[in-house]
Amino acid sequence: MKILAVDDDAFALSLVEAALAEHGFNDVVTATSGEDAINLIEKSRTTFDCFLLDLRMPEMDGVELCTHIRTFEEYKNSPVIFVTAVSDRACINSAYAAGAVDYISKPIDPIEIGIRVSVAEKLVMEEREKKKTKLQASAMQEQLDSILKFSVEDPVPISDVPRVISKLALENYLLGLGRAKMFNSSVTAFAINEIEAIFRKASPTEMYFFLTDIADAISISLKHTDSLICYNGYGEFICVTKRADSALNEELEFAINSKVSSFELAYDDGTPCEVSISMGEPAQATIWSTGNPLMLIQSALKSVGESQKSFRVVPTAGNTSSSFRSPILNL
Amino acid sequence: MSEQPETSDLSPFQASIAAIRSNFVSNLGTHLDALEPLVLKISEPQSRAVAITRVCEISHKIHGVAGTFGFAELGRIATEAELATTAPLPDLQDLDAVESIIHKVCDLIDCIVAIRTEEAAA
Repeated sequence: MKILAVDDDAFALSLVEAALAEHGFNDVVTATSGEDAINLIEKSRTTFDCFLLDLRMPEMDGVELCTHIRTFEEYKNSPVIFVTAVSDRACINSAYAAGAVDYISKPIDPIEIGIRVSVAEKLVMEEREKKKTKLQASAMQEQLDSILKFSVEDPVPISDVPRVISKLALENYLLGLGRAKMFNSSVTAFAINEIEAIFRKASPTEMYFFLTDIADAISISLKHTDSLICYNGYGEFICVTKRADSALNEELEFAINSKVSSFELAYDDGTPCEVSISMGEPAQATIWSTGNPLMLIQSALKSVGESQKSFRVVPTAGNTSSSFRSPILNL
Repeated sequence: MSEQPETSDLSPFQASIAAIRSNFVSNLGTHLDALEPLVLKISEPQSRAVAITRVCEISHKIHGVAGTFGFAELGRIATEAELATTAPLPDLQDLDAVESIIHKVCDLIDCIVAIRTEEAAA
């Protein structure tokens, strides 16, 4: 795997290179500035598979560099990992929002770097398989459908929506929060009430675009907050915000549904796609909370499941009465 | 002050660290040369803000690598200096706040001097 490591500090770069070599990652190119990195990317004969970026650099910081990297078509989905001593939450949020999949704190721990980059390597392998499939498809629609074919439970990554990141990145973000920051965070779940019916009727492409539009509606409704959002599968979206954020009130569900209605979602045959979104109660850590912060995701999903119980699906000839929910809710 | 690893039984990573450690200590001299005049500049209102920004940059750099080279205490002091000089800053007209920042910078300088002295003696 070919890696580009960028840091304005030569010693930090040496440490990163040594840590990577310790785990067998020897194809490493280094750059000491964002501008230098972009020149290397543009001139490189072979593509880079993964990027390790410092966050705080003069002239062009890591967030700006990451955003620039994402404009290259071949690097739209490449793993970007930030390696930084910055602990400021707003900066970290910006890093994830710019497209980072993970974040490693300095001082550098070679074991941690090895583990995180190994995970990135798996993502690279998966992406290569997807690209191989893409090249083999004949028609554009068939190609899209085969790439986008997914099950209702798949947490498909949603692209090009502000502050919407992959599920993996969100989980890494939560796991990276310290106790104090965890206490100051809220995890809220949103769910598409008609997911079963929509998934049955929509083509993979239509389904993907519906999910993107709904993610967009949630992101727009939360645009004044410091939030990160991911798609969890099963029509569920998970949002992490600051605990004291006043946007997480009863009006938010109404705002999101209004925004979704304004999109006038429709299937390719022109049939309107009826969509409504339920919102659960925010899940928050207590000062006595111990253990895995991902439990907050489970609590948030459970809460939105409870709010969906009051939602009645009007029986039609097309749908069945079978329950179709995330297994985490045990419904 | 420093926790120098044993030279025997080093992993490849540790061997790499040992090889560039002396360069790191030598480079601390560059940081020292930059930090010392900044103490005076922080005490002067007209140059205070710029000097504090520069201290933040230097301490951030040191904070990011010192621990990995075995200088945990240096890393800790650099972290404190960085936090003290990171936005949002206290009121820079508040002399107590400014004095607190100066103390953090002096602690960092003292730590660097001690490391260089110890390494030179070793």
